[in-house]
Amino acid sequence: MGDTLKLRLLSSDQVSTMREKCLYLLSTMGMRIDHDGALDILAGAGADVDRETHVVRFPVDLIETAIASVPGELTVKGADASHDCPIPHPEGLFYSCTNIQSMLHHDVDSKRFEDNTAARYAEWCQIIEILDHADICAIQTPMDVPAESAEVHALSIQMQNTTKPLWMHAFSREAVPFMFELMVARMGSVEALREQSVAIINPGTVSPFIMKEMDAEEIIQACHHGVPISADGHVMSGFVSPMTVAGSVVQNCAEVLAHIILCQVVKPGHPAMMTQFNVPGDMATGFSTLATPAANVQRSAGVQLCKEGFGIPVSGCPIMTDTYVSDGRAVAEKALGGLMSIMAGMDIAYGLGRLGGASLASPAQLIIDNQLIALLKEYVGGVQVDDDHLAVEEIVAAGIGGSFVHSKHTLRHCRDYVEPGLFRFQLQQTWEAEGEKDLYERAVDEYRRLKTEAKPVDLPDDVRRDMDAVVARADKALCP
Amino acid sequence: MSINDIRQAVLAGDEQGAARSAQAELDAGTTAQEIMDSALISAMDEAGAKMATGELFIPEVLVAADAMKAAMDVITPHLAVEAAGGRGTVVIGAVEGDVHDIGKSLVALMLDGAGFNVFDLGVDVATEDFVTAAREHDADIVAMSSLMVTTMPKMKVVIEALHAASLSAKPIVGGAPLTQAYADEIGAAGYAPDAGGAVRLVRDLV
Repeated sequence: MGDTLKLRLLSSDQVSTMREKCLYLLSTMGMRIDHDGALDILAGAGADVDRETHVVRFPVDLIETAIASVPGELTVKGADASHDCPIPHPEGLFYSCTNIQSMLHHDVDSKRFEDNTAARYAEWCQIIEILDHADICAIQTPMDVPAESAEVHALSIQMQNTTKPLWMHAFSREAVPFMFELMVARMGSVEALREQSVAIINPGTVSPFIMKEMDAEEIIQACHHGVPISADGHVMSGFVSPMTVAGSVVQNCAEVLAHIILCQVVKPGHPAMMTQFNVPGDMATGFSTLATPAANVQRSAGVQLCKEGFGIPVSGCPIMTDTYVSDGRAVAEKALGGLMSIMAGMDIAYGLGRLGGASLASPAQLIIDNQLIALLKEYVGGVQVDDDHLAVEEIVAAGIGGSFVHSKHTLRHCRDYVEPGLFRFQLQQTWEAEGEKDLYERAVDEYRRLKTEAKPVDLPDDVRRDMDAVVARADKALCP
Repeated sequence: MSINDIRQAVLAGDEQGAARSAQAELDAGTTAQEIMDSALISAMDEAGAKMATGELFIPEVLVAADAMKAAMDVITPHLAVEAAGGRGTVVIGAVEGDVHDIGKSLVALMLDGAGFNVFDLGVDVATEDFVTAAREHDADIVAMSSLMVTTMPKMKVVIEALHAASLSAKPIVGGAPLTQAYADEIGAAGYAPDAGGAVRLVRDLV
């Protein structure tokens, strides 16, 4: 993406002011951290720790040191290195991530939302493995496994069905060690995991300003195992953060920074990102809205603050919709939100396959969103201006009234642009002859075709056995 | 001054106006019970209905509740003891292991505003604390929230504990991963998908 395409919602002075406010909140009000080990670590680094309330106030020097130690570059790795995602993207683009934690799955045959299951999630991961523009596979929630160890089962399903990088977080403190054990089992050793880290961990705040024991433990374990983190704030303006955009962005970034500080104190230089979930509350219903203009402005301003204010790579969730069907609204909301955040500099854009509500997964929407990501990459790809692309000699050669269609230059560049796939141009007659299908119907066709190609990862028997053993231990330890 | 003035002041979130109108109505000879039924509860019912249709936003309903409470302060000394107790008692909390607060707190605020006595136990509430609070406060309703699949099973544990303690409080549940089917499966007396629905549910059950 060329620098000329950058979207800036904030002036440099505004970024500077908001940065200062983040540091003010962390140094004066602080963050409650419900993890004794993390409190010890932070106290040892010079933080002001109140053992009774668990509130940690971070001296400005400590914050600045932590910010400075976050690498500006990192690689989010998959089990197969060919799927690695170096950040910043070498072509100035961005990466995509599918939707997280879905408990419901939209069935293309019944056209109803039904429970997500281990089998459905396995198929979902297999399809992600073969989609060109789905870069990172997020954890979901199969409902036919024990609830207490659902995330351990889900991670196992992920690793058995895709070699792409995994977006991962635990649902309980007790499950965290098993998830790291599982990653070690997949890669063979702690050293192998550190080399090819398989996942990115996504700890998140309970806003306002509470870091759960589970998330602090995830950060500590991630540092030990060499797995990058992308720390999230969960502000919801009007309910757990100010109603105003600037206030919510500042609060969100301050909460995220607290995670980043813990991470950098545990292991200076550990790869870390800031996540912008950052949603407004709907004042009519009390629920969060994911794809309103306010949500996208809030998120994009947050991206700019993270990038310009702190120099830290950013993930976020702009490929969102608030509708429950794969309709025009879904595509419009996802396209507008995606374009805005990506142009603001987001490095990983999350939400492929997600419909509205708590977290609804739709395989047809996944296919549509995969195509949408391809289009978004085209939009932000910039314009090359050099002799070959200016093609003045070609223009002269064609001459007045000439044609370009048969030139070598046209042949060389005729596939420069993305294959529009589901969004392709068709003659009206062709479209009618093919059944007058709309976008959703074409996506379902493509989903059915991909299902025939989908297959599990070919894992060695001993690896599969070791992973199964971890899941069995988790079931025994976590389930009553 | 009239009953309608009190209603309008409540709906407008005008605390002083609601209190002033309630006092004027008392002075004019209207009973406290009549003011509560015809003005205050009626106004909050209307606020709830308008919220359900999106006409009123949550902060506007909450300031209406503040105005209702200002008027209640004026009329309570004139109410019979049993009538001053409100519409019923609700014990509410997020179940053990779950620290999500937003939805649960919103439901508590809305129930409080609708005239119920609400005891908010907070988040990560142990099963025995639900049972103890239900017994201590003679609760009509025990409302539980869960935002995580891993903590949902705790709701069933609480329901079983309430039954084991022979308490009559009706358990209700809510939260993003919940469904009516799950509520039925674990033996809950009700489920609501949002805060407004929770108020309507409690009204129906009490």
